[in-house]
Amino acid sequence: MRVNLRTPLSRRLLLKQGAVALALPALNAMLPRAATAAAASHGPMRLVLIARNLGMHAPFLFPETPGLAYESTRYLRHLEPNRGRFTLFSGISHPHYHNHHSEPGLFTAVHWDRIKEPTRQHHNSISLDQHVADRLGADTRFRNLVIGSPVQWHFSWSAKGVPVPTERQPTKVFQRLFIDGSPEEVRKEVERLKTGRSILDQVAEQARDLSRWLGPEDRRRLDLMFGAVRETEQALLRNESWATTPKPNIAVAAPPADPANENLIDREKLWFDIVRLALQTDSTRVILLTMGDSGRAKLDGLTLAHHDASHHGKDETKIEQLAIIEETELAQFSRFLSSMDEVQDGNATLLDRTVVLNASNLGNASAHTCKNLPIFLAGGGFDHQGHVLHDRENNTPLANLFVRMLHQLGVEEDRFGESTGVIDEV
Amino acid sequence: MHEVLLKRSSIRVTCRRGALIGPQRHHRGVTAITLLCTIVVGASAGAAPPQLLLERYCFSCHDRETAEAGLNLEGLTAVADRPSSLQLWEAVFDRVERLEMPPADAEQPTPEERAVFLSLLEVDLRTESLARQAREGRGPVRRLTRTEYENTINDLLSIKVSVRNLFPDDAVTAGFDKVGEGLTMSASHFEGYQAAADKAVTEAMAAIPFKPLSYSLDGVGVYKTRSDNFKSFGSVVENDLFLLTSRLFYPYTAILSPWAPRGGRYRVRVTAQARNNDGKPVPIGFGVHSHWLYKPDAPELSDWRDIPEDAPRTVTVDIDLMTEQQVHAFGPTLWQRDYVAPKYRKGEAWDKSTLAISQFEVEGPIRADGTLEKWPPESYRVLFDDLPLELLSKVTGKQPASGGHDPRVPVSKNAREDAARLVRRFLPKAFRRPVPDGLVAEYVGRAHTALEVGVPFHEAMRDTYKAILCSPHFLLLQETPGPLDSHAIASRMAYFLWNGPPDDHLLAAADRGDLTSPEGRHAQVERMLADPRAVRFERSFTDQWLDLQRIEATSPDDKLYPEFDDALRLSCLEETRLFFHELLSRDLSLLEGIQSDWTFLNEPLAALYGLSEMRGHELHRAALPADSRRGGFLTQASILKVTADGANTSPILRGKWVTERILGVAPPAPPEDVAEIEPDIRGAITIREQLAKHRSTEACASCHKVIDPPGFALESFDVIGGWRDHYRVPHSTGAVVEIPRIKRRVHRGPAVEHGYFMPDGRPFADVNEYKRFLLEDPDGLATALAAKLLAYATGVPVQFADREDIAEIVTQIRGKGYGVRSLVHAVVESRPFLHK
Repeated sequence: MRVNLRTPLSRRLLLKQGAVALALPALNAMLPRAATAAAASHGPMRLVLIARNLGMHAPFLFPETPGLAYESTRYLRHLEPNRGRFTLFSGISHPHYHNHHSEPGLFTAVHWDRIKEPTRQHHNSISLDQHVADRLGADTRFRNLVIGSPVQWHFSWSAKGVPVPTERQPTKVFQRLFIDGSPEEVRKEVERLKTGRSILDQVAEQARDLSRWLGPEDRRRLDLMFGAVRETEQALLRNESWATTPKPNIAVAAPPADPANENLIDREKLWFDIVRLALQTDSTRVILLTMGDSGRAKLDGLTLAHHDASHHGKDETKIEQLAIIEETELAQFSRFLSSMDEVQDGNATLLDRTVVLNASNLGNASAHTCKNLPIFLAGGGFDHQGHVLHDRENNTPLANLFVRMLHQLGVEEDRFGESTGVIDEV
Repeated sequence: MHEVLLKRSSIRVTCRRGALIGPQRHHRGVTAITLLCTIVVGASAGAAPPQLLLERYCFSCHDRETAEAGLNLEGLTAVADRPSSLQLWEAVFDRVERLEMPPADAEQPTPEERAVFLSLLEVDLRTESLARQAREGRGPVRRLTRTEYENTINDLLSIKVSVRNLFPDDAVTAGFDKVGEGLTMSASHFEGYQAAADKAVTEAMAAIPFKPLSYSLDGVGVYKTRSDNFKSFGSVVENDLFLLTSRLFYPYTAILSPWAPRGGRYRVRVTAQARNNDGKPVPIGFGVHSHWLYKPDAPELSDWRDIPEDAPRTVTVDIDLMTEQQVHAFGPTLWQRDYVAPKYRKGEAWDKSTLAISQFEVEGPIRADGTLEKWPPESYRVLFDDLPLELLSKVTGKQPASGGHDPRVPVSKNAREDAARLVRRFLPKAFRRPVPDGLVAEYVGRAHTALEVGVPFHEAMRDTYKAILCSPHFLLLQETPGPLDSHAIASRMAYFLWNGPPDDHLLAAADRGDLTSPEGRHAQVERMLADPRAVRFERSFTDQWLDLQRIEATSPDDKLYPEFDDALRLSCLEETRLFFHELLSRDLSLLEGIQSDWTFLNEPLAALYGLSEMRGHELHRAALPADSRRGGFLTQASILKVTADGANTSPILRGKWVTERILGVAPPAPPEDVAEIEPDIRGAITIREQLAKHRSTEACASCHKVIDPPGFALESFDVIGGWRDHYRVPHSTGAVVEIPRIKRRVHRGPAVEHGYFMPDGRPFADVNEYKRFLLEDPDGLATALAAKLLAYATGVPVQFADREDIAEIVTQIRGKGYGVRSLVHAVVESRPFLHK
């Protein structure tokens, strides 16, 4: 199965196709291996986390009325086509979180003390996407994806407090997902993975030897290293078993180049398309997508960089600049939801089978506060409520929503991070 | 043994000679806080034992019930094997010592009581800290950072590849990426190590023959490289000279070298003369060009030189390139912004400032000894010595795919012997120490096993080298508790002063045992600081200590700071780097880092600083006028920029920056229940008014007393480091601020108040008076910098037991005028540096 690269489409055309006009083969035909049977009636559940790091201007976002009949706001009108397919929560946050560098905690929900010093973030713990990938990630080519650009922050973390790197080049992600290597390349790849495993055997052996002459503290560290080696071996083994399985044929040309950072619309659209295609082909079931750029995007009327506009210091012209960016982002998000809703997955839509969370670690970037976060929960077969209003003074822990999401994903656990309960409105 | 029992909330406090803190005890089924403390009864008449002092002066806020600021001294059970409680007791010690606690409005202990409390606590903290260091070492065994890793494989193999992006970012702990506590390892690291080793070994084997670049063109030759592009933008040939115009049409008007045939250092030489620039020199910029598709706002610029108008000048610049990168050179409107640069319509004649270029040369890669690299390169000899190379098709008997390369690979007539010989030769260099036979046999065995099953020699060796580069012996810095052996000292010195591995000289010195003597180490430190690799230390240390790595974290608001451009951004960074280099290379006093009557300047910096006009963009050391508010790090534009946002300055952030990085005091995080100060740039309320409200809370006041003075001292400087008497605001106020250099004006906001008060209440009128107050405590400033260097050099933040060593370092350099180079030597000679 090869993607036809002879006639590369212009990106504009490609994106257009990707969004609406793409004639998709029946989804089931594209599902590899084990997934097919399971997906026949009830497709697998999936998780998409979308992270942004500059908050959202609350007065333009949150309505006052709760429920599905919320009065539309300047920002929410961009999501009007999807009313009923999402819930916006107000009055939700991580307790005690404060300032930038709260990014590492957005999806880990650890106690603030563990990460509040930017210099001690290795005390962080596992993020929601990694936790879910441990449970839903076994049967797909990729256990999970951590992608997006161009944000420098880490939102995905291992249980040992190590950031999981973000793949920032859409062209490369696309290639890994959908473009097969030549037989020679495949053979070399298998060879490389085999060599890799034998090297790791030796590393593990030496680590064991080393730890004999180390103190107890250092032995503990060597043990961690040992664990990482084992984990790597498993990953190589998994890659080996997939290396010879052809990648799904999506009949979409590869993007010719990575959009420039300033090209916000094309860039976000391409990422959203990749997310949808990856889920649609069941290449993975867990994706963390990092979006947003502190730089200056090319948008009509925009003269400020996002970071500067978000730190508006209450200046009205700056707030208007900020609104240009945030409205564009919400419109993109809405189009993504619509496109997910257009894909049939068994007797439901892809959106119905995908829990989507769009969140920021900052509430008001200008004040550097992390209260009243902008939290959108979409799809996933929830009983969506439009706008759920929690106490804007005494916020509900965001981790309580994570627990609810876990339940929806079939992970029956009653705690995550610093959760104190479970949100039950949806 | 003396025992005192105190009843308070059914808690028993047991004191005994020996230690104020110690193992937790359970007493009669009640969890007791067991403060085991030294009591010298009657040592100080009327002084109460420490636990009584705690009870009397601290428990009213820091008892179990109130636990102000989250600190419950009653419950702080001082368990010896919990580092966190040791750290808390250290904080107690520091804040009591600095008279910050008990707070001013609470009952104060007598000076004798304070002294007794501190001396007892000090003895116990040191004893405990030393005991831990003896058991485990000061810090955990640590891996190389990704920067160290990249430098290590490049130096070891004599190659130049970029692999840092194959790894996750390193966590920064206590201000430095080298701190071992944060350097964890995950699966993504091991995937990265394999990919990096593969890339490095492939590059080193240099299977495709290359010719070094030796490129030389006259003016006409340069023009002919891309005459269509040049012509369209006014760059033409006149006689034998190529007239280079604006960079605003980058990359069309940039001179590009051929692609680098191989990663390495390239030397660029240009002869040119400036024209039409009112007698001022015109800058020519040099940088790395990677690909055509991406057109950035500004080209990457790594170095620049001034070209004078009165006569041609030949300039030489060294630039590091990876394979498939090019050098670009451009000018003369090097950094100007669109609205400043001359207007130009495509095809017009260019009558503005121009560079008339008569010669353009690029050669490389250049080896360390200055000669041109040849194929097979040095890296091949590192791995395969003098073994011959053969076409792969001859080795395998298979022709390469049509159009594909037929690479050359090493071949051996005595594969087993050669494999053993090469591995044995390579290992000690890779592992940075003599390697025991057993370990050598392991890798030789790996190569032999592959050979036995018919793997070709070059493949077997490649696999073995890859395995070596993934070994924990390569990836970890191996140290055992106690004094370091000479090879561990060599590695410490190398990663400290070169941010990379020891070279052959240093390893040989370690083999001879030279590094166990102060004289031997001194000689090596001098040699290492004179080596070009020392730039890595200067860059990496200042990037982290002074936060220079954040120089591009925010871009100044165009409307408020239209004068900020690439020229300023690069110049201010260069000023600080040159300044630190000057302190280090000339052994100047670290106090000059607070106040100096000189700095490094060029035209844009002099304009920003309001100094008399300078000509040209190259930075030169220049004397500052007596009334200047510049000199020293704090008032350099780079520092003022990294401590500010794009539009706002915050005295809180700047004050915190100064206290942490210059004064060496880490202020605690703000209490959580305090309302945020939301910046308000509309100009109706000043930050001083906002903060005054804030400080009226006692919980805030105790810290703000410390961080506000430097914060307000620097409030006189705007986000790009310019002096300001008024804030700039985004909307019209009827008044304006003039910016002469670019002939623009912005709206003028409220006046800036310049002075403030020291923590002890003494007023200062401006930043210069503030600096004079700082200089009253030279030992304190030296202690702070010594602590930063020691943390950077050892990968372990300063612990309680190290304080004595730092005091010793400070004593030593006091006699040497607080020289920074002397400080580096003293750090290397200190106990913490020479012990795990």
